[in-house]
Amino acid sequence: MSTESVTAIAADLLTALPPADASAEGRESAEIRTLIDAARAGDREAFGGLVVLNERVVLRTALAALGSREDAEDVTQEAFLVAWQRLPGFRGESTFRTWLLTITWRKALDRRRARRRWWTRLASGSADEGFSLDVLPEPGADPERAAVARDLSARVGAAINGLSPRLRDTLLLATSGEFSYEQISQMLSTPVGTIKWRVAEARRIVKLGLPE
Amino acid sequence: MNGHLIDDVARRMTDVAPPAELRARIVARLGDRPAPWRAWMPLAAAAAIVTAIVGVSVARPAPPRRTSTPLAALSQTTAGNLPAAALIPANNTAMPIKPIRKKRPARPEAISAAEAAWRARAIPAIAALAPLTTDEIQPESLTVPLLELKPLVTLPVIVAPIDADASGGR
Repeated sequence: MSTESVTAIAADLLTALPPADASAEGRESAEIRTLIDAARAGDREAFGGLVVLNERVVLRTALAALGSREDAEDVTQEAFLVAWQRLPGFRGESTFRTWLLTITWRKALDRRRARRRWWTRLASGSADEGFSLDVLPEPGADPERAAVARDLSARVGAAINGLSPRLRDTLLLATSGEFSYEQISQMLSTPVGTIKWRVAEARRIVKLGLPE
Repeated sequence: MNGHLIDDVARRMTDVAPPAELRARIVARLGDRPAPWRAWMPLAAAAAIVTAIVGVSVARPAPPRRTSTPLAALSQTTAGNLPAAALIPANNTAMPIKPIRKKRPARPEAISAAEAAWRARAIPAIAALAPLTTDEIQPESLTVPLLELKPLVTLPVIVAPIDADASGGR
């Protein structure tokens, strides 16, 4: 498969697919099936097309688990390499994206367990590591209101960082806008009802620490 | 409002754009996939080893069974009843232990007609005897005279006065 055709397919799909690909669950589009079949046969360019289609969501998934952009990029590369190795065994029981995200999530959790810095980052609450709220855009033009909003965002971010890993992971995945509850359920190997409860519980706990 | 703020902050915490060269880096690192048979190599090797071990253990003759009673305990408990030659030292491991064989049932013995007649001889009947009679063994009643009790009379004790001169003049 030529680079131009792969790029064209990927570009079309990127504009066509909604951020949360809930409607595609259980059925793969013909274009994606074409890329998968070619990549399974050993076509690296076709696999590159799959990378373009999924790199953003894979990176966000890894970032939700790790909190560090560098670690998330490393895990993203590892997940794609593992997917390339295992692609001949992909039987299509789920969508390619869900299958890829499951690999990503496991890789990210392995990285998180291996690097205990995660807990020390959360415990210290330093803003220069992990989820940095300094990079958030300015919420308003008025300096005074912007300062208040920035302070409130910082408090929300600190409260989210203080959640238990299960609640925090689920909240970050659910609010990213990239996944349906069913996809999160498959990634985390957890029932959908539990996912919904975790999101609600995480919101409730964060809200308790905010002013009315 | 807080609900929207929480979701917005959480969304922005993971809202990152992948680097432009990420695809090129990943494609450059794509290696050759291992052949399908190579994935099964470790499993096949393990299965071959297990099969070899099982085959060797089955082909090897089973060692003779040991009796459940230890020889040392047997020699101690029956030392007084067995002849000296039958006693086996407890630490004698060189002596082979023969497996216990079941005794076959004895074949029917061939006997002569005279022997058969002797074994089948009848015992003569015993004539009826007269009933036994026994003598009375009840003894006659004993007559024991009654004891007569007499009052005990005690005489007063008379103590002679001590003679001072005869005692040595103490």
